[in-house]
Amino acid sequence: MQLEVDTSTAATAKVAITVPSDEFQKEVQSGLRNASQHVNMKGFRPGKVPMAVLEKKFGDGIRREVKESFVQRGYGQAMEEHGLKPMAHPRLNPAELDLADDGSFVVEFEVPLRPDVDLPDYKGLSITSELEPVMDEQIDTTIGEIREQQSTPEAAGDDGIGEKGFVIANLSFTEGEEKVFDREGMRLNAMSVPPGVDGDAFAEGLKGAKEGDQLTFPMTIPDFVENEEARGKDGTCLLDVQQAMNLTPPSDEDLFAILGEEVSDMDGLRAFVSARLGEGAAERENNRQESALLDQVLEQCKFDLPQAMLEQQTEARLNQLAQELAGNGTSEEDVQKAQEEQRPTAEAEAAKGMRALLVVEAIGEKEELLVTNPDIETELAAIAGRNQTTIEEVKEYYEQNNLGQQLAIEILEKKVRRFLRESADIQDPA
Amino acid sequence: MSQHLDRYYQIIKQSHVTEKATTDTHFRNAYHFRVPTDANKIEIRHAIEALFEVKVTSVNTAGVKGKVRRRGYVKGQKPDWKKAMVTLKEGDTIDVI
Repeated sequence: MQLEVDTSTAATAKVAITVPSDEFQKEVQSGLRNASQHVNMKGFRPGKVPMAVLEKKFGDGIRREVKESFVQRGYGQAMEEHGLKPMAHPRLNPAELDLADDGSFVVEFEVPLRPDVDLPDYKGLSITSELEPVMDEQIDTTIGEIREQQSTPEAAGDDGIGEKGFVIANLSFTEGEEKVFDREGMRLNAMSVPPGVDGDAFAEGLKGAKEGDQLTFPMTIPDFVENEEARGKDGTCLLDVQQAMNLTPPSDEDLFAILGEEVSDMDGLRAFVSARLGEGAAERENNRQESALLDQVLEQCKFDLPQAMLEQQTEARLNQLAQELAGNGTSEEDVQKAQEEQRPTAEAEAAKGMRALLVVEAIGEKEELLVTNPDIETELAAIAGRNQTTIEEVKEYYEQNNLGQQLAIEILEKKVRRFLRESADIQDPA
Repeated sequence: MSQHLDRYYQIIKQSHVTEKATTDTHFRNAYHFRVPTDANKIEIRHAIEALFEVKVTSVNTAGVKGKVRRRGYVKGQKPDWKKAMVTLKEGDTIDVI
């Protein structure tokens, strides 16, 4: 087997493997002899199947195995002899693995190489904190939101519903005399306006609605109705109100009870909300600082990326975009147009992602930030908690989808980002 | 002709590839086939010559009794079958596998 390795292209090695015909045939014959000892064929005693019969039956499979074995050996030898660090395995098209006319096996492939990352000084990077104190207005708004969330619906009675009330109603759209759409038991309020109806008019009309009311609103028939002819025409939206409910916020005492023992009075509630808002703001600020610090490091790091891998990553992003658009019902033509428009952005994002990955790995290696089994267990537990499932199910999902390495990279990235922040010079805002 | 072809395809049921058949092919250019029990040597010769475009020099046949099979008390028998050993003119071959 002859091996040629060309590393003249940046971050890519071109490997050419040539196996002469006689060497290849020898290997195939050896494979057939080996198979003859194990094959159990009807009409033949074990080990007595003639080579010609084996060749006819298993020749193609064995030749394919021999080709793969030469490719693997050649790839391993090339990496070892030239001290190359591959970033990904080469992608080989099986159609390219044909024998030449003279029976020799010649294959050429490119291996994306891990570029040498020359890390800049990443400790003590300067950044200004943008963390702002929690304001009283924020606390008031949040308390208002909690009250709204904890409100209980009560029948509106003769006064009808207020601004924040809602109705359970049978909804129908009519165009002329024909009913083109109807749904029963829909929950509607001033914010959930049926499509094609003016929002302000709907909110106004809904005020004071009572059980048994029949409300009508002028509308434009939306495009989702089954009757194609009615679409876009003027029509009427009819609401047959079955129940009218107002939302009653909990009293202060009830609210304190809902929030637990930690809160017993209004000052306690304000302190509780302030602490939660502060925690959220601090987490967001930490994330912002970590991203900004990683960006600083990335800006100072200049290295070539393997072109083939960059193209592959870009295509993956564009394919994902295409899938999303197709899922939303976008036409094929528009999907292609969007893909072309987004290509530069996708390429920039792919390049940034790959750079970030390499820099994160380089910093992790230098600072010995290892991803340990307890780290993985903790992360899996956190994922299980977020998705309200068990760790076993999360583990099974990650194993089935082969996402173990992806998870390890994510954990490493978190560790490196935290390291950058903890070793940075964070200045308070002026 | 089409009627004949139909019959020919019925006659050559399958090639019979065994150690013995392979040896026979090697030493005297003879190929073994499973044929219907009612097929005669003449139509076997015609079928082989028409389907594989070869020249047949001789046809030998052998009726084979189906093996007795039993499962507990229940006794049964595999169907009888016929083997045709067809010798070809030197240089002619059939791709039987």
